[in-house]
Amino acid sequence: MNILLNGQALSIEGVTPEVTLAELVDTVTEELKESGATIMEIAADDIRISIEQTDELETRRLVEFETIDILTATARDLLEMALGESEEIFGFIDESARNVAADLRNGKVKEAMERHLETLDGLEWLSSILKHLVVGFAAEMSETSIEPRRKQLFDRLAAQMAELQKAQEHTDWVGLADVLEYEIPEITAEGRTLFADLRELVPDAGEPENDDRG
Amino acid sequence: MEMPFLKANLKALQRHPHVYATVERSLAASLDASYRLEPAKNGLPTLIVEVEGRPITYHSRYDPAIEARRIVDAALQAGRTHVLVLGYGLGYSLEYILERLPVPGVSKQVHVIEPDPQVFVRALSCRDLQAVLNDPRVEWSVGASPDEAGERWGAGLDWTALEALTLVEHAPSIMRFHAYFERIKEKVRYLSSRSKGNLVTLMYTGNEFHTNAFANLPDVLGMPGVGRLFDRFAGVPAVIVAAGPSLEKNVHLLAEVRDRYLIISVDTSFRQLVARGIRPHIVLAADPSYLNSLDFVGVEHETDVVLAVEPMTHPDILTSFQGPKMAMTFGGGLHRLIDRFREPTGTLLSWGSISTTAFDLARRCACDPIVFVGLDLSFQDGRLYARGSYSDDVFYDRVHPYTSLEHETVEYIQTRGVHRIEMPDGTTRFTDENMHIYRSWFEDQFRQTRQKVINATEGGVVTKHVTCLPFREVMETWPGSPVPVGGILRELAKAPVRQDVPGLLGHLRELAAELRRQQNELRRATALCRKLGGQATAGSTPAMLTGPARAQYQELLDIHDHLLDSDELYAWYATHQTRFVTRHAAELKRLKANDDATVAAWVGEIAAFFASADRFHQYQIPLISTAIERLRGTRAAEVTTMTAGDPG
Repeated sequence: MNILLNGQALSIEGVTPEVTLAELVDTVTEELKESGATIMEIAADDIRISIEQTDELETRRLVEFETIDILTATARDLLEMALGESEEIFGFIDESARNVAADLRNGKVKEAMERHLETLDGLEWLSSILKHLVVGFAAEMSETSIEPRRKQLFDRLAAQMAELQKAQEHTDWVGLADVLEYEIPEITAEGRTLFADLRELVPDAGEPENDDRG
Repeated sequence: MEMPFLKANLKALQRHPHVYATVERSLAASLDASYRLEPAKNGLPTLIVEVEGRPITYHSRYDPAIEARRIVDAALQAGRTHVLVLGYGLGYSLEYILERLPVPGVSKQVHVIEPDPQVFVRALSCRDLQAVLNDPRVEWSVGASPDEAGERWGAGLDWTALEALTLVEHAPSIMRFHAYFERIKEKVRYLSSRSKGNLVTLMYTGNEFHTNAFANLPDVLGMPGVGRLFDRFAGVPAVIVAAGPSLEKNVHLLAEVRDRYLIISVDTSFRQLVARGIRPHIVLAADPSYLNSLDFVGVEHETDVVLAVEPMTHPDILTSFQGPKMAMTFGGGLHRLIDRFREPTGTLLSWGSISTTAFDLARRCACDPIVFVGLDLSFQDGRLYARGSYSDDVFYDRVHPYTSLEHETVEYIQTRGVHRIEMPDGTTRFTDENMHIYRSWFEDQFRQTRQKVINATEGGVVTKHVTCLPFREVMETWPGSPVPVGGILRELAKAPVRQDVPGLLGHLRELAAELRRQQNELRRATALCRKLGGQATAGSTPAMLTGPARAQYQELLDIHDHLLDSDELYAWYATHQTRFVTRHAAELKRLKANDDATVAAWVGEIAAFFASADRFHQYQIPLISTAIERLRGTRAAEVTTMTAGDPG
């Protein structure tokens, strides 16, 4: 049985063939803590298992496979991927916010709240990216106006997310709809511009990946 | 708070006195800081209401007008004739609704319901609402209870014009007053099913009502009205005897309370009471059908019982019953005609079942508590009514050697018992469509009744908003005090009735003259139809007509539009010709929408109207003539003439 890290042989003490893939992931995560890299996927022989497939990871054991390749990404890798996906996600946020607002104004609160969770996921994704850009692309951003714009957008998003939360707590549905319909599209529009400028600075970011991991 | 539009809006609001009065009362509290008017980003006013420390935004703080358009567009589909606006707020939706509906439209086709007068005061203060307040298409309920608002909606509606109703809901108002609007919707559903039912009833039996009312007119004019009984039995328990199958469980107990309770019987249970030696104090009759008049066969000589009748009741009942009689009215039919020439009759509610009227009479008499027996409103033990009612006679007629009374009754129940009701005790009961509606009506009314209401049916399906107790327990809990009910009734019934026979005679003669004038007009109109229909121009559109043909066509339209200008006669015509009126309105709408409609098509439809008016004349003129003849025979000694200006 071979255990690899991004295609390179990896030697780990105390790992026996009987341990599960989940236990292997835990052990390797511990060892990678200082490197800034994150495990994304396990390639076990011809099977691909995402790090989010916890059930699968917990039931499969090392003994079942000949070769296990642990695939990781750095924060920068993740950010580059996120920039690549951003157009699609911005579109999703806009559409979802518009639909939730319309439902709220028509009194369809239950339907709106189901969809609103997805909108919030999108906004949290954006917030997380804006927060980590400063780490991932610090060098590229330091000499440009992108950093103050990033910070401004991050703060504006944080303020509007607080408004969303407040309106939701007060069941002020029209107030919630207003933020979703009028404020969020402005934020996503600014986000699109910011990310487009960033992609110019970081040519690899957002390029279609030659991803042999599938 | 700045109020730039308040003065002008209040002036316009005077068209709606009931809302004006509410607003006047609310103005004093208009400084309440929990209502905050703020400009939206586009400058239009918006409103934020603090409720228990939580701000509720009433309209978009960015663009309230666009928001309203979207809400209305989502709700108001094409072809909807009527709109119910649930929550007015600052009124942005209504303006767009009125833009979308055709002008001039239908009177009161939009009903606005705003539960919070303070919100309405803010709307009057910050927006120019004169146009919508002056628009005859709009009716208003502000600060009214859900029942009042629902009743106002139902009462103001032209049901023949209602094709489809849209609810436009203002979400923040709905959230804030959720139970209120749920109740309104329940009320609207209930009124709709009932009133559409009324319309159908009118189509099939309207003539019967009208014919009976004219036949009874001379008698009813001289009868004391049930209005004399109103508030005369304050605190006296009343028992309403309906004719459901459970009546047999406790009917025998009624004899024990006759000297302490006011006993009101419906027509169907009257014979059963008499058969058991029990005389109610009052028996009610209002059914126009011959079948129901059979309820009085064999009990015509019960002179200790007061018969209260509606003018539309089958005339056989009035002529055969020998006891004292009083008149009551449901407010429709000939009520307006009769009450102009006599002391007030006393108006009672009616929702299809005479039990509903009995209940209203007990309420108006101020009786307390009001107890029901025999109010099953469901089929019980394979039976429709208590034994001995006329329905047994009717079913018995169907019995032949291969069937039985029970079989015929059960077959009826199996066919009609479409509503299955799970009772709180786990049993299941069945009821038909009509009884299902009556049940809703009673439960709706019980919650609006000041007096204690008890259902002592010991069966049936009426359980909401009412205390259910066995009648024996009711007697023990409310023993009552001895009351000379019979004596009070006799005294009230024998006092002279103020009536104006000469006045009524004069009015009927005027109506007869108007009908003759209309007949002349009809003859002229028929000749014009013949000319226009036969001319070469028949294939043209009306806009293409010139010269004499154009003048003749215009004259024809004038006769069509003004022939029945008399409100009184038009109401009678619409009752007699209900089906035609409904079809004619739809046909005219279709012709107006078609620019290519020919003169022949128009003349054909107008001629159909004249034929319908002629049928009405053939029916109505003999009724008036007979009434005039009978009134002329009224002996002067029996007439107490009302003087001009007598308040009645």
